[in-house]
Amino acid sequence: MLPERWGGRYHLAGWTLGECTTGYRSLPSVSGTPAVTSDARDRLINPLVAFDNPATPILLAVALAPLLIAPIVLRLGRRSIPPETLKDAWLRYWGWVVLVPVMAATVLLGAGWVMVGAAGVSILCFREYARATGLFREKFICYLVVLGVVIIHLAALDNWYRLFVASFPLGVACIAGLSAAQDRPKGYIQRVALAVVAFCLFGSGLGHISFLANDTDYRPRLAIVLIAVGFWDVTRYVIGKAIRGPRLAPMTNPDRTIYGSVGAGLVVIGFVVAAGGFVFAGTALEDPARLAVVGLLIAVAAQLGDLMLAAIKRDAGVETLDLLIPGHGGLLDRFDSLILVAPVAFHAIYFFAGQAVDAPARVFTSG
Amino acid sequence: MGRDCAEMDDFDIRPARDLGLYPWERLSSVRRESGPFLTVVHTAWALASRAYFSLWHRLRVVGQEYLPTEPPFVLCSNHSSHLDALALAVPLRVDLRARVFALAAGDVFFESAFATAFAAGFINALPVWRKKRTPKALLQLREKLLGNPCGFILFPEGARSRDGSMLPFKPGVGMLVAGTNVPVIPCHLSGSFAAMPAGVRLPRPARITIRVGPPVRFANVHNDKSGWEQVVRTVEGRVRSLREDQDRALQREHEQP
Repeated sequence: MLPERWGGRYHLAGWTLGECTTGYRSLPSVSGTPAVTSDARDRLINPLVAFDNPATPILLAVALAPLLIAPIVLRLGRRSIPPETLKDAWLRYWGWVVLVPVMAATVLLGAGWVMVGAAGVSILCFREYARATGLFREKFICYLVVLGVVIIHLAALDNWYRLFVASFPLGVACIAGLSAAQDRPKGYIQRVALAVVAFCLFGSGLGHISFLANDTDYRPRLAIVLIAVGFWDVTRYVIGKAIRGPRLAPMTNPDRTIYGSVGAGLVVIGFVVAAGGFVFAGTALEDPARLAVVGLLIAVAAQLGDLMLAAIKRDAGVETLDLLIPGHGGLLDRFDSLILVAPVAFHAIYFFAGQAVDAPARVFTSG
Repeated sequence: MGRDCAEMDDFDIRPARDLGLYPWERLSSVRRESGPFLTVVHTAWALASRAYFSLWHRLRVVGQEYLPTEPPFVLCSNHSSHLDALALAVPLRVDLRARVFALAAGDVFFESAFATAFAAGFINALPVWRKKRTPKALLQLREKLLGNPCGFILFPEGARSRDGSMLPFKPGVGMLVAGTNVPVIPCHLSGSFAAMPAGVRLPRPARITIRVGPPVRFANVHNDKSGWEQVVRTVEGRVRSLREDQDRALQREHEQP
């Protein structure tokens, strides 16, 4: 899998790719097999081009900076912070110490790794949801949902938007139809409803993270969304603990406060406006007002995603979904905000700046 | 597939019983429930072990009609080899495998992370800690058997026989089923001792025969010490009777020209 800059003929997964030049020119297929352009290959698997966009190293520094600042803040404030909050904050910090480098490395390594990672997160989040709701006992429906999730991420990998869009209604049709074919009408609505919600959230919703990686400049675009969600979560937590104030939805999650939510929203809007100027330079989205709208949408979606998971947990009567990440709980506890942010951010960016406008469609399947 | 989910006909939001445990704790927990992924592993293992026992041990099942098709149930057998739990699971329906648990010695099968992953992932074993076996542990198993209908493969002798003879049964099985309508299916395994006795690492190609007897229920037996003794005596008698049947069958085979 030699990158283009090293010259020569290319082979990827047994496909001869031919001599490549710059640009998005589709290469002639050999023996009727699909061709993959060198740019598509670079985007998918070449980490050597990770810092081609100058916004990427800046955003990487922004993502890593809190990991260096947080321990200093926690040590300085250890006398004023209640011991339980301090312990919880340290646990969360160590969770982030693992999560941030893993996510940064995935984004930097290539879009292919982002899509593999997003597919893995989708399936693991579905697993936690299924275990919390009892849907995991319905093995057949679970296999259908997982199959749908895989197809959505494969459509993203292929940059095949029509399949990506069609996967959702077709997936729902398969879940509803094939479940009916089991000839077990009792509990049908509950089973299918749980499965469709899961497919919508973890398949279609998180699938937008994969599709966002189809843009030529996907690294800073994806980074700004992921960092915004991370900032939202941390500032919501810090402001909520420090100021408290009236509760946002006491029946759903008594820990969430209005001040925390509003404060986190303002931080996210500020960050998106500041960083977006670099990331979306030269597009219609470099306008601060439009960036503020995108930031607001991300903040609202993040808050709703957080409440959504809390509602699922309250309804299922469970405290935690898993113990995978110390201080955070399960993967779903960590990625709950991202589930709703992913489609919102994708379509907001698509609406204002366009998405993958110059990247070749159907990377693998175009004959 | 429909039968596999029979307990879910009236769908209630019911979280996994092993929720809140760390992944490694879950594998060795009595509360473990197999999800879609583990079910695929169990099914693949079931198919592979069915092929293995058919080809290498020419497995023969006598009395297959007595084998259960729906949980809950308890399969009780003599024990003389590590092959026993695997062999007893082979004739069961493949789609039951995720809900059939072999009760295995915790100090052997759940000692290391690798052994635990193998025992839980492939064999679908649950640990029984012989040195710290308590009534509470057996009560948890009883609750699992009744509350989350499943099947147990269990060896009431408590250890592998070192010479192929049957050891006296221990009362644990009585504590599991006394006063319930859970059927106990007596089984007898012959040939597994010749194939892989204690101390042998690789199985020999000896023929294994499973004799299955009619199920016994103990709904009218008191769930106390005398009741447990009654259950054990009955089950042990049934298994010994199957052993005698097997001995007679072998004798007839030898006598035939």
